[in-house]
Amino acid sequence: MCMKDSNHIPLLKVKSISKYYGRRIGCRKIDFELWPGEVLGIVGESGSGKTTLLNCISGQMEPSEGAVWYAGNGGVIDMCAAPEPQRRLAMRTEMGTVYQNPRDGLRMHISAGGNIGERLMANGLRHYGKVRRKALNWLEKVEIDSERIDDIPVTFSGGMQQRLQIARNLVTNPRLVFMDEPTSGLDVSVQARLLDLLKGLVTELDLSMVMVTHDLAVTRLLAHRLIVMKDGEAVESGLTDQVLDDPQHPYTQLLVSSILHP
Amino acid sequence: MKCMVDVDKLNKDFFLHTQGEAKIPVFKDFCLKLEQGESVALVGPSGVGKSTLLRLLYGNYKTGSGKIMVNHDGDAVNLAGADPHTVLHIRKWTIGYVSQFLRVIPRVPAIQVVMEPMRVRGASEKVSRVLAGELLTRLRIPKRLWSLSPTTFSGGEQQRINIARGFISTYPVMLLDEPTASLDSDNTESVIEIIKEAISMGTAIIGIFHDEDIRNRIGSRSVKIQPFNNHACSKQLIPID
Repeated sequence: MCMKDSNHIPLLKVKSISKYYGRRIGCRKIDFELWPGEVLGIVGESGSGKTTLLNCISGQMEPSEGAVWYAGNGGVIDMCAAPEPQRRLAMRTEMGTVYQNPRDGLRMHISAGGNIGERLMANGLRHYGKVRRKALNWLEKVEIDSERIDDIPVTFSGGMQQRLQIARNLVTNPRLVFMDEPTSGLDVSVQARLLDLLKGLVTELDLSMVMVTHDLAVTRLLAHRLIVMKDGEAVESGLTDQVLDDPQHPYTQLLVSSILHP
Repeated sequence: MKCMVDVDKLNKDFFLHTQGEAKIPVFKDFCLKLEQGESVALVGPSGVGKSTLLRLLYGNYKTGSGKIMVNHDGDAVNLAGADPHTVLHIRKWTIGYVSQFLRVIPRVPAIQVVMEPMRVRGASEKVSRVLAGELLTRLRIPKRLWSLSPTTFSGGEQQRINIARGFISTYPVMLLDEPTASLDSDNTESVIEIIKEAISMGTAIIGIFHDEDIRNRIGSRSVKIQPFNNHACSKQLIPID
């Protein structure tokens, strides 16, 4: 039996991250480790600090306290303190972010193909034919008609925009992807296809993901581990199926007992 | 013989905070030892905690107190209280679990559902597909169904997909929750064969089998679980046959 995968080090170490908005708490003293190939779900009601936490660990917001260590291709860096160019390089080449609102993650007046190709070209791919082929391939993966490759995203439906955003982020095979409610705007059939796609990528590419969602059914199928947040604090964390099937904290029990099909 | 699982003074209560702070005690100082190649059948009335024990052994339920020592590739690891990363690693390589219900992503073909545990271990698409096909054939899942999502399958078909998924990789320890509950006699025979083959290769089994005949044919030692199990350790291992 080959169990060599046990020697990996965590890809991301989040140490006591807090964010205060004046006297209000965004999130407080959050700790976790994320391993290669692992998907972490952050769940909780709206206003519980999920997105604030995601923004702090993905380098888009400066936390008030704490540190985020990222063990990337260029060695371990502190995402909160590393020099801007080093941080930017890691974010551009090894990380991706899928926003809740596709308008935040797409260039709305550049073609769908251009949106997908942008990161490829930024990372050095120059052959136009190859960029276009990859773009077509990814449109197919996220179930967008290839005829729409030259259309601009403003002409797309909300669900299509979200799928395009995912394609744009995953085309460069990042190691770590942050997702904020990635499936909430999609219809159920597309949601299932996307979950399957994401799960396959996680396995094949050793992709790690931090996913904020309020959909516990999605976390059951995709996330290995969960953090349950309430009023800015992590009230419970653990293996996804353990948190959902044997919740310990009163708030988690309420959350789990309130859903129709966990 | 090599001890694979050693449950020592396991305690488990459920606290229902949203239902008037009800407390449901399930295990008190429960002990169980499982050796390599051994099969243990959990017996006792419905609701006594048989499935709960399997879930505790899989890390699906959180242990109150006590130890669940697992032989994980030669290392003794305490599953109770292990960090999630370690539990996932144990599930990937050491402990397999066939639950009563199949939970899958909609639209994923049955054969891929079966292949997944092998793919996660790094096996190639080709090898996984061949092995999955062999198991599905043995379990009489018609080939035309392989490319369809099992969400629309019958209860018996879903259970067989679950069994195929559980047995495609070899685990030193297997937890089986009524694996033949919704199967006809032919398929039950096939499943018994598959289980016996696993045991002969050294897999240790803890299972819930309601049919006494099946228990005997697998060669299980029966461990009776008492309603709210509050006996001392030594009294827990009472073979009833």
